[in-house]
Amino acid sequence: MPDDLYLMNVSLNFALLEYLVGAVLYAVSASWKKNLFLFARCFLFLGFLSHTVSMGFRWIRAGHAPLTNTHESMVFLAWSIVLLYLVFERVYRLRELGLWISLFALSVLAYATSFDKTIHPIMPALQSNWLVFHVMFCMLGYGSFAIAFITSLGTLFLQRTKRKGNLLQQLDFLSYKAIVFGFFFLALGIITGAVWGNRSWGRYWGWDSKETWALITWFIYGLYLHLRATRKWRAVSLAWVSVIGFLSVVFTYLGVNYLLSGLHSYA
Amino acid sequence: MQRLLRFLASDGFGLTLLLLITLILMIAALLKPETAWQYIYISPFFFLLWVFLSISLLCALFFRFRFRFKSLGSILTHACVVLILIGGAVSAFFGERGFIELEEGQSSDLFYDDADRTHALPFEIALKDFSIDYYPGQPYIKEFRSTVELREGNQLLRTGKIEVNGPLKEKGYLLYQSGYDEENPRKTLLEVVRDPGVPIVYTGFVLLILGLSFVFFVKPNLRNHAG
Repeated sequence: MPDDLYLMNVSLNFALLEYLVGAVLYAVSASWKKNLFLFARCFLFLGFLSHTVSMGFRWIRAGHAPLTNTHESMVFLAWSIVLLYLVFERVYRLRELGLWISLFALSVLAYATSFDKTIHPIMPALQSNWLVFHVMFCMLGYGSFAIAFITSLGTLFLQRTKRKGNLLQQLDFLSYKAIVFGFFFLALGIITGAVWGNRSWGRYWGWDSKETWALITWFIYGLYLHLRATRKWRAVSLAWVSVIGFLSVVFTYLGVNYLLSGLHSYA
Repeated sequence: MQRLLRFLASDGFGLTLLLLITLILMIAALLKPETAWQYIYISPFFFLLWVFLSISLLCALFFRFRFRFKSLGSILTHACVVLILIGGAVSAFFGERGFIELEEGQSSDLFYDDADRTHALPFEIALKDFSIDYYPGQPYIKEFRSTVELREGNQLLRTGKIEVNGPLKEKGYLLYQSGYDEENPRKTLLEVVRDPGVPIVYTGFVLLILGLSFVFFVKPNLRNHAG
């Protein structure tokens, strides 16, 4: 009888493999065999299932939600990106980006496996439901911004190739939708983090480097939303703001851990 | 006067301020925490920036926004940002925080802040017991807690447990389990916080989420229905 740790690793490797096959099929379906598109989506969905199963086994093994260190949060981030993309693909019929999104999710998941994977018992400060919601909402937010980043790069690329028109407007709209979700999730993430901080050490805001960067990121996307709604900026300029916003996301999530010190050193 | 109000209420002014604050926060967040606190987070000019942002938002709310059902979410969201900023100012100016160190059997009604100033509590804390739980068979700490009695004069107010993530509240003061003395496992470190800004900020949080939900998820559907 294989134990849950073994099953966790096997299903994670399966997820990686299925995402890779999904990416290849998306590439093939985009370039010449259009009818392969369904298979591509199938493999992405299979990967998503394996990914979910793997997180489930980790949850069982650890006895707490697997959202307490960099490896776990990044696995959840990759999961959020795929989930959000699958929803987006259904609702907004965006097929052109399947390749890039599955490659992106694949890289995030592969990168996640490079971090310490051992399950440690969690320290007292981290034993809180607020923490679970905090990490979940932040990762869903970052995942939405990742999708907006890819659609915005698409916008900028299309503008270069002078193939403007319908697709460019569609990508711009998708970036906007993804940013709306990201902005909402990040607001929830920052707020649940503040409530957790107040429960844990009586301080809802302490200008810790990570929370300050999260606020900076939220403000950048806040500017995006205003520039779009009241200033009527054009798709290409907005795409640049979205790209800058995503750089800020990356810095908030990873840069702060490596370059700055603070409360969030464990995640 | 009218021109000044129109300027303060303009989206250009508000957005420029937001951009300026974002840039200053970037600089602050890249500095060493001590330097950032000293020169930015507690400096008057940083406070003034937030005051200007609040003024800009309030002017926009009263003189530019049109009060219609459709704009309810937007009004709520922007009003909540002001509310949260007010709550933050209340915390910063009227809050108290500090630490108490107690050994089992000891009691105290004083705590000390960062600058080593003494603050008085309206009650006395007596430490009855301090204990640390470990994960079975492992050197990792699972939880640590102080069992305390709160007294006022000769009268016992209550007994209670203070755990990490489980503070004890009495007369507007919250007692947090902050740490313990590694050389003397009978000695606890409690953090004492009185923060009258919290209810204001939390109200802002809840309404902000409601406001954003309306802007992003209710309003777009309203428009579709109207035609």
